[in-house]
Amino acid sequence: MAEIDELGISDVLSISFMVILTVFSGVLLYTVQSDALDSAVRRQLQLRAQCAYHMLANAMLENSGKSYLRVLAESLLENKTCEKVLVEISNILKKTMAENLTLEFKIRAENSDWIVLKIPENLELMGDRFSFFGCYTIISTSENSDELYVERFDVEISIIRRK
Amino acid sequence: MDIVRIFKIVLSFFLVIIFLFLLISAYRYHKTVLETSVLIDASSAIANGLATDNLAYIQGMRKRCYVIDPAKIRELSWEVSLGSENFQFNIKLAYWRSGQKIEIEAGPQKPNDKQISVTSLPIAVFDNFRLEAGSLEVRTWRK
Repeated sequence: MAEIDELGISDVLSISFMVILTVFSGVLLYTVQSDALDSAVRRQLQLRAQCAYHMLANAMLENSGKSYLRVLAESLLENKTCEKVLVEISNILKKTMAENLTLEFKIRAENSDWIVLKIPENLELMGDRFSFFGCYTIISTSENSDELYVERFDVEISIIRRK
Repeated sequence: MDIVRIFKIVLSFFLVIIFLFLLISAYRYHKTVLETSVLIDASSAIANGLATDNLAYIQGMRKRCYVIDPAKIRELSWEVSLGSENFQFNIKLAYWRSGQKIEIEAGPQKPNDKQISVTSLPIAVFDNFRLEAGSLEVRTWRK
């Protein structure tokens, strides 16, 4: 029969429970709180995606008096090849954003398919996406009449944070 | 049997000490994380404020958000109060004119002993009656 001062099974259980509790509380204390920093970084990436859209909508293409998005939108309207403009957009996004970021630029005219530009090219775009959707409009006229048309383009810029 | 009793007391005391140490350490970690996230948010807010308000180019009577007028840099105040905290910042504006990179740095020197948050935004810059693509880098620290 066990005496009062002997180390019995209840003592072992309570000590084990205390050890487990200490370890778990330590893990919990550290993991639960780390979200604030990530949230701030996420907000900053979202802001950068928004600014990237506005830069393309405002900044003028080199040797042109028109913005990057306007030149691209006009090329799409006239069914011209837009490869050259897409290369310029890729270059300027690489220059103005951090080089290690993965970006995706998409544009489409109404009822058309998306034209997708990946930076860097041929990269699997997996991870958290921080996207900004913009609606870029230009006013055009038809060749035969004086009627004005509003042409709408959906633009999406995403920053992808690789996991 | 005294050894068993002493062992139980020492072990319990040891676990309590570990728990307290964890609590203090986690509190300090939590405080650092919060301070850093507040600094990042402050830096983002300052950069956004510069792009949409303080440095925004005024065309006619209209303020053009996300278009920066470098001439307005000299009118800037380099201290800002956000959420009852005072922050200081400096900026680096870089843009390309005919393929040539132009950099403008302005504001107080960043301190070496303080935590700094850097926010870089792509932006359009008004230069010589053209809107050039560029980037605005804002470095923020607590005053």
